[in-house]
Amino acid sequence: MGVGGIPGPVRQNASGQYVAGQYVAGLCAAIVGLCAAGWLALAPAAFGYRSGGTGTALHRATVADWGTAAALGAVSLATLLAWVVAWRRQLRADGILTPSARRLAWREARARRRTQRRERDEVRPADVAGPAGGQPDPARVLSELRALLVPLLDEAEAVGPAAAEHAHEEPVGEEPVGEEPAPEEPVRQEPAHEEAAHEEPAHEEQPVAPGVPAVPQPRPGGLAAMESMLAGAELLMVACGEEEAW
Amino acid sequence: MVNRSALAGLAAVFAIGVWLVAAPFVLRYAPAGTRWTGATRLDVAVGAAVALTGAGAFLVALTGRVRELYARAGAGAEAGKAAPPVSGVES
Repeated sequence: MGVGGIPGPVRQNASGQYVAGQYVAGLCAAIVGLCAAGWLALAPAAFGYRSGGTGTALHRATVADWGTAAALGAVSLATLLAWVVAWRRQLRADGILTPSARRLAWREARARRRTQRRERDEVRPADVAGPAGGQPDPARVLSELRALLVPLLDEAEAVGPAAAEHAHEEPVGEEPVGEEPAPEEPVRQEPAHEEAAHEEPAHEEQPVAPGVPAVPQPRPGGLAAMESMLAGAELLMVACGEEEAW
Repeated sequence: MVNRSALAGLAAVFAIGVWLVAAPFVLRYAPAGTRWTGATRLDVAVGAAVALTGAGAFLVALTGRVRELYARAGAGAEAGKAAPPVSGVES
């Protein structure tokens, strides 16, 4: 059903009253204004009062009509666009006017570009805070420290006391022949720092792994404390890493 | 949904119509007491038509806008009555 002869939907508001009349009135007024502007622009030539009669000077009415026509045309055009936009917005809000497929595709492309830009902005700070510019990797630092300290420890063992060498040469788990096996058992359950005082039994008791142990035993030669500190630092950093992961 | 620029455009159309009616007397190409020329009659007629159209459209749009506001306020009040009141912890 149309209004005023203009085909189109006529809506009712919550109280059942037609609300499309305002849009139609606005559009009609803008169109009348445009027509009047055109008429005013042509009227001086049509009615013959373009020149004032003295030479080529324009009549005052001509100047007034042309100026008014220009202003009225611009205002009417802006008003027409404003009412068209307002009505389309209202129809779209009511679900009567659906956006075209081309407009939907344009909106989806814009949303996709925004999402990609947002993801890129979120990734950039993470790259900046990486290993190159931020905190070093704890595992890598520990491995480098280990690589630096192992030759020192081997050198210290090479020049160390003969008892330490003898302890390392003994096979793992073998009990020495001729010694007292049974009474020594409770003593071997002592903590690590007490085992450092008893050098030989401790080394006999601990199995020597082919690789580097998680907590190496303190060794003679002045580097035992450093090695213990290194092992403690490794445990501490592993624990911190687990906390960060949580 | 009617924005202010649309209403202002209608008001401007009305103002231009009023100016067009008054232009012959302001610019003195139709002195008072003399017979109106063709240009004067044209400007007054076109100006009156434009002014009446602008004024009528402005009033219609303003009425519709006010009606929309009333309808929206009534719908909001009904929704507030229908919604359950927000109370404290019920146990």
